Amino acid sequence: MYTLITGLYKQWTQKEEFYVIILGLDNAGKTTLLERIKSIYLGVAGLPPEKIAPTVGLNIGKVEINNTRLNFWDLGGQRELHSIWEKYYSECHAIVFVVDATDKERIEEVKETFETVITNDTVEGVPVLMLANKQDVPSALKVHEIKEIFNPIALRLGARDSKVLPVSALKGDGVQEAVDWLFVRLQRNRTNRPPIFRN
Amino acid sequence: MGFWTAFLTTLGIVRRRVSILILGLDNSGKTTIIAHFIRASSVPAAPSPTSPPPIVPTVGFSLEKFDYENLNFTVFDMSGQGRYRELWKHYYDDTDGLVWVLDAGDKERMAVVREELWSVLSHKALQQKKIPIVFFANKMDLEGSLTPQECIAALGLEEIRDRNWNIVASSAVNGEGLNRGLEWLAGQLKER
Ligand SMILES: Nc1nc2c(ncn2[C@@H]2O[C@H](COP(=O)(O)OP(=O)(O)OP(=O)(O)O)[C@@H](O)[C@H]2O)c(=O)[nH]1
Ligand SMILES: Nc1nc2c(ncn2[C@@H]2O[C@H](COP(=O)(O)OP(=O)(O)OP(=O)(O)O)[C@@H](O)[C@H]2O)c(=O)[nH]1
Ligand SMILES: [Mg+2]
Ligand SMILES: [Mg+2]
Repeated sequence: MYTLITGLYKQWTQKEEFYVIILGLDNAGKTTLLERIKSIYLGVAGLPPEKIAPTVGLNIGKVEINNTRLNFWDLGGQRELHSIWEKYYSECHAIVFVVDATDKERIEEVKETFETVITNDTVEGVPVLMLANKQDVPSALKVHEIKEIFNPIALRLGARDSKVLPVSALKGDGVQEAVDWLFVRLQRNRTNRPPIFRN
Repeated sequence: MGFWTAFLTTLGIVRRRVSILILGLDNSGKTTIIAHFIRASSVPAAPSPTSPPPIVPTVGFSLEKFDYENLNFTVFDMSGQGRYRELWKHYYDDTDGLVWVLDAGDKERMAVVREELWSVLSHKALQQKKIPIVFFANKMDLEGSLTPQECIAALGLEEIRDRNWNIVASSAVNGEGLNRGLEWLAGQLKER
């Protein structure tokens, strides 16, 4: 009886947690996105965009939706830091890959990097959300253009959930839709990558 | 914080007080880094006939204060010598942020740093309190010193997943990187 009650009690009080890593080249807008997510979901002001420096380390954002916690890990995008990304793969439940849609010159580099990420065995089946960022800039590549560019490697995504969405991390446009997409896919993939339970 | 202090702080008239702890092995450059920030924040005085006292190994710890942006920092500059490291844990409770200084030129002792770092991070007081850490990969002016990326690998920093952290290459002798690191920490402390 006691174990039954404590069991039920645990179910009521324990929170489900998911971990989402935010990847992408340097200057893509990952930290700006994280600060935007924090300001939308936590109502805190967050760092002003001009105070955000290139990341060499880790920034965390914790957001609660329907009694479920999403933990975002924002990592550094500089080339020398890519080898660190994979250290997080076994613990992550989803990947957000941020693309600077205004930087057409680096799109090949983005493609190679993205391919390396999605073909890593440790993240097989993990939902991947690509964000075409900086849509507030008129010349930014649109979602259909990004899709066209990435089409040749789309097959390599395998059987996972994936999507390309337009956002402006700076203005906040599309950010909520992106988090909503993640929330649904995290739940859908829960038999593959079960959430962590915490009190 | 009382109403008036809170009000004046918002207006930027009163600087908010924050307390930080600066840790790292002996000889890594902790006191030299703090001396830089104290010098930068004090009103330039008339040139004194005597030069500032030379920096010597810290005994126990030393309490320092300086202003940076709109924050008033109280710093516990701890001695990094083996026999004083036992003192560190007594200061975890009252600290808002950690500064960890590495001698990036001292590859031999990276294993010792790693051990000390993890013993600090696994302390109960710091497990309950997810305060941010900035690492200075100091002495970058020395030839052959490790880059921040190499320090991450040597220390296993990617294992720190429950708090915000950042690493910056610095040189306390020429001042490089110091503001970048403190700026990041200040940004973290302002958020609360
Ligand atoms: N116009 C525009 N600029 C943006 C947007 N998002 C980010 N930026 C800018 O892009 C630059 C880089 O942003 P960060 O958030 O630091 O980029 P990051 O991906 O975290 O970079 P690393 O930490 O080096 O990997 C900054 O100048 C941002 O202000 C956006 O939606 N629109
Ligand atoms: N080349 C070089 N030397 C440095 C640098 N920073 C500090 N030093 C030197 O390293 C020595 C130790 O510096 P301290 O600031 O006393 O080191 P500490 O970490 O406070 O040492 P303890 O108080 O014993 O824990 C001094 O001789 C400094 O001049 C640096 O960036 N580059
Ligand atoms: Mg960043
Ligand atoms: Mg000292």
